Order: sequence, then C-alpha cells, then structure tokens
Amino acid sequence: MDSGNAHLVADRKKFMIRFVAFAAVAIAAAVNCQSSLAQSPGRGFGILTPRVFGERYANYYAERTPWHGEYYYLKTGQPTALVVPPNVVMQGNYSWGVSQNTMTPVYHQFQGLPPNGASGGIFRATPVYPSHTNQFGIYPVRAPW
Amino acid sequence: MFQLYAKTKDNDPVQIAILNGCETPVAFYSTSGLRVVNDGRQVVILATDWLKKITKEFEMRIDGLIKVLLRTTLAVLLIGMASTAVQAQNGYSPMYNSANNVFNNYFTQGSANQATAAAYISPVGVPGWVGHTYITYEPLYPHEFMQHHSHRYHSYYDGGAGLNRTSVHYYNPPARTAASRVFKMIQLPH
Repeated sequence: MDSGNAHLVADRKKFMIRFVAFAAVAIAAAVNCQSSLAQSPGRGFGILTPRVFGERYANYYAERTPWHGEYYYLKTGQPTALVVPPNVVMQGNYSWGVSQNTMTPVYHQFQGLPPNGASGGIFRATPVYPSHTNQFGIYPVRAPW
Repeated sequence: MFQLYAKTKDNDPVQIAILNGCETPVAFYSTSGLRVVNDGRQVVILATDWLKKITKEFEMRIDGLIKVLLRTTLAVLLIGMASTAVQAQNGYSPMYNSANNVFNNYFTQGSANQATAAAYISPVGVPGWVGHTYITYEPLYPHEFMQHHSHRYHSYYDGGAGLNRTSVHYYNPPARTAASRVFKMIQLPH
C-alpha cells in the first residue's frame, strides 16, 4: 500500500520538475522573443549569444567613453556624429605611417532618451596637414534600433 | 532610486531588484495576476488571490528544489513586468511608445561625453531660425532605412480606446535590385 503511494508521489514529482523546467524555458523564450522584436540584441533576459554579448559590451563602454574625439568638424565647430547603421560594430581608421591603419569598435548609439546635458568640451581644429582620419572631427554613432 | 519589492504568500516583503529612478508619483497597473503599485519611491508588486492560490497549490505538492525553480521563474516575471511598467511611466522607452510626441529625437548618451549630438536634423544641426523638420510617421524615420530589419509600431487613438499596429519590413526587393544593378552597368556615364 505504502510502496504504491510512494510510486505515485515520485511520478508526480517527476512530472512537476519537468513542468516547471518547461515553464521556465518557455518564459525565457518569450522574453527573448520580445527583445528580438525590439531589435536590440542586448535587451531582455535572452540567451547570451555573441551578438547579445557584443551589444552589452558596447553599451558598457558607451557609458564610460565619449562618442567624440578631441577634434571639431570645421563646418559645425563641434565634433559631429556620423549616423551609421545600428548593426555596425567596427570602423576603419587611416593614418600616415607603417601599420597605423587600425580598426576600432563603434560603441555609441543614439538613444531615445532626453540629452544628459553633456557640453562644454574644448576641441581642437583639424591640423593643416592631417595625419589621421579622426582629426576631421566626424565620429560614427550608431542609429537607434 | 527606488526599490522593488515582491510580497510572498507569508506577507513578508522580499527585495528582488533595485532599479533606476522614477519621479512621477502614483501609478497603478493591473496586469494578469499581479498588481504593481508605485508611490514614487517604491514599487510594490502584490500577488492577487489567484496567483497566491496557484503558488500555494504548487508549494503543497513540490519539494524544495522545485520551490526554488518556481520562485526564480516568478521573480523573472515580476522584474520583467515591473520594468515594463516603469518604462511606460517614465514616458520614454527603448521602443517608440511615447505616442503623444509628434517627433521623437535621439541623442548621444554617456557620462564621459563633452558634447551632445542629436540624430535629427541630420547630418548636422541648423540654427534656430532656420526651422525644424518633423518626421511625424515613425516608419519613415530615415535611420530605419539603413539596414535590413523588421519593426512594429504602435499608437493609441481615441484617448486609448483603440490601438493601431503597423508592421514594417525594410529590405531590398531582389528582382528590382538586380534590375537596377544591370541598368547601372549598361547606362551611359553622366
């Protein structure tokens, strides 16, 4: 009598474990799906794919590094953002000299948030003989998702 | 800064997350099985009787490991719903859901910046007396045309009585793109 009951309890327990595990996976998938609808791979409780990881990495450094360099664009007097597609990850930099051409990540992205009031930087003019593409005062910023 | 609490069935609040601030006082959201109350400083999520009953039934039947799994699942749900509510309440969110704005602009963010760039008017800003271009239809934002993707847009009308949903796919139609390439190959230089 007892052994039969224990068998039933074990069966029910096994069923519950599977049910809860399935529910957890289903909810994670649903949330992941929502984040993909929002187009941003870094948002939501998704699985940590390379794309998701890259987006979070970019967000981390966007918060801690400026989007601009130390030069202003001659036509505007300010560093000027070049809007690039949001799935861009790298930019090419060209410069004089052996092995001076580099590729660097594009961290920053336009956000639909109010501006945080960052201003007042002192920027330099493009040199008469520019030696690097970042001296022209145009810096890439990714478009919003 | 406010703290997020979830009340368990024993009625003792358990802190599950700390999120960034929200200054608008008093909002009340009722979602399926959960009530989110925000008094400006803290968001309290109260499980309704329905959820309590379900939880109780589950907990009667299952052992400790499953309890942990269940609570984790619930916590994930709660955090997700609360963050959605908070975004809606702040008036802006990652998606374009601030339906009252005629035109949502985008700005560079980050604490290390010494200048702020607006995405529009692009490519460069203009003096105030020149005027401004408003793009009032979100699917026609120029930046949406920069890569292949799909997007969904929502807007409420009649004071929230109706919801209009638009699904847009941005892509290059293959036949037309191929024809255009061929035409460009044979056309006279200009």
